[in-house]
Amino acid sequence: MITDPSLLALLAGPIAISAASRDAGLRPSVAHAYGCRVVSGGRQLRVFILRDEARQLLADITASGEVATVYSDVRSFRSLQIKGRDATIVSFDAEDAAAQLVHHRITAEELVALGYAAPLAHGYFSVPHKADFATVIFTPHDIFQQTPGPGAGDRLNAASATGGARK
Amino acid sequence: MTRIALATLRASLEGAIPSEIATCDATGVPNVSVISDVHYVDANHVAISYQFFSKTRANILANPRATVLLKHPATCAQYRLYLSYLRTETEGALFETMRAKLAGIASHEGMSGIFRLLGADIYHVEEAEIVRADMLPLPSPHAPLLAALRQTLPRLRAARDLDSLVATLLSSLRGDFRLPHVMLLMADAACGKLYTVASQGYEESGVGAEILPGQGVIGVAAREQTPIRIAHATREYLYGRAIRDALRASPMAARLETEIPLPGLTDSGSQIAVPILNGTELMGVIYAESPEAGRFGYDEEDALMILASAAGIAIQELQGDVEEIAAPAAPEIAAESGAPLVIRHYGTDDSVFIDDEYVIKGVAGSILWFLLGEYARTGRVEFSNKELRLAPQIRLPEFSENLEARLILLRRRLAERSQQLTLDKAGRGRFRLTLARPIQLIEAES
Repeated sequence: MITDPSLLALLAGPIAISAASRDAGLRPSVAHAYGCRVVSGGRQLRVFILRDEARQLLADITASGEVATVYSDVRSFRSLQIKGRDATIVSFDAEDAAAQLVHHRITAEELVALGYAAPLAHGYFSVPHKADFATVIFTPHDIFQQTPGPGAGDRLNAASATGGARK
Repeated sequence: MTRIALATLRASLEGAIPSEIATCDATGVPNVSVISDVHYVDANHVAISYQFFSKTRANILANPRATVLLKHPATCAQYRLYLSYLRTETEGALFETMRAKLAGIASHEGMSGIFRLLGADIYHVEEAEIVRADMLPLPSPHAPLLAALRQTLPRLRAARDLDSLVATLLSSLRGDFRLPHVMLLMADAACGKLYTVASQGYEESGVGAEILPGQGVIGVAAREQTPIRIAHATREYLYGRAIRDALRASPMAARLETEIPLPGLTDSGSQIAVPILNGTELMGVIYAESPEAGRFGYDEEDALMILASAAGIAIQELQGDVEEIAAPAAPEIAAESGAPLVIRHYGTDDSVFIDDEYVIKGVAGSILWFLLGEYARTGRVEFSNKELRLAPQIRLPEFSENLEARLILLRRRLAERSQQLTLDKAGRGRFRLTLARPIQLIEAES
């Protein structure tokens, strides 16, 4: 469950997101994600994927339920990895669409504030007209601190992420 | 997904935009991490920096398969690489190239001291695919590099002596390659150091300045005989600091030219140094820098390596004593008048001072002292390279002495430091001393 305010703030802030899974032969798959949303009082996470960019990833998640996601604050490089073992693919709903637009806007604006040219900042997060999204939904099973440096990989227990997170 | 050749993705392998690497442990649990640097090795291999023992590393040791998502720094295109881990290198050219690059990235991200390279993990690229096509147009290149090479290479081959080769090289770098801030250093193999023979784009030329291999961008390129490129200049590779460190650390450093500072941009944004090689022997280094961050990419590195290779061949072909006596110059009307120039020589390091102002030391100093001595003794003003090689007073290293480079350095240094005393070419392999005032030579006690 994710209820720690600092983790929730990171997930709602200007971040770059990626999601990974693997096939039956343990070959990893990875794709950019275009936003996320914490739901069910922190018990589940929804992550938005463009189908055209991530056919293998979506197939792997469907087959295995395994997912690893990373959220990296574009200002500080503070990063978080959240893994799930029960991931499924569901429809991208209206609330997802609203969250995706907010994610795009705040992240691109932050990059502009950091000195990136506006077309570039928006380019990374923009999606095609009538984009075909899928939503990956999963229960956070493990949460890790992923900020570059020797502490990367330290586990923030899913349980302790309710408020007593380490580091 | 459309497949693509790795070599065409190199702009996305500069570390300008972080990448993500997905791995998987032996039990099937995936992992995804942000990484600062995927390095192009060749058409089928990349290297990823190993900085600390992470979950990614544990995973690839257990299951060598990895998948990387790359983003183009200018077009927002995305690419995916399917990789297979092969081995880790902990020293050598690739390791040093990655270490320098990482230091630049760390400095840029305010993480100097946090990113420390323990190894270069080498991966085979099984497949590369386009995930997302270009969203923005590709910016036009700074200079048409292939055209610049085509223009420059024949000019280098046509150079009749090292002096004109150096001049050609520098003017081409400024003009065709659009690199206004460059230096050319030659290797002194016997003494294990590099000396600056020419530069452009700096307030002080720094001709005569010396550095040790292994120090700074130039020194590492020399020691490892590999191009070194830094997209965001970093303190770790600055010369001032490098030389101070070296002076403390090395017994060699005491013999280093420290009176003449190496030039450098105070607001240097990016830097590149490429070695000039003759087989496995280091002949020199071409260095360029820019106030702009990220100015030098893989394409600039390729072009400068080709240029350095051509320069190395041309320098090699110009070695040796070929003399061509030029048409006799107008008789010297040596306007020798006025008070004598007081020229002091210190035998311990062959340093030469003109009217108490330091000019040069070392091999170039001993050449200058020899010429002045001959002139004082016989009145002769014309000399040949050959006699310099044979003169026992001149302490030329036995091997790889590259006398011509020393003469260029001396000629340029004199031009900068003295209006009264000049060295001019007098045909290939020959030169002429011109003095505007009488001279008084003093062999100083050290």
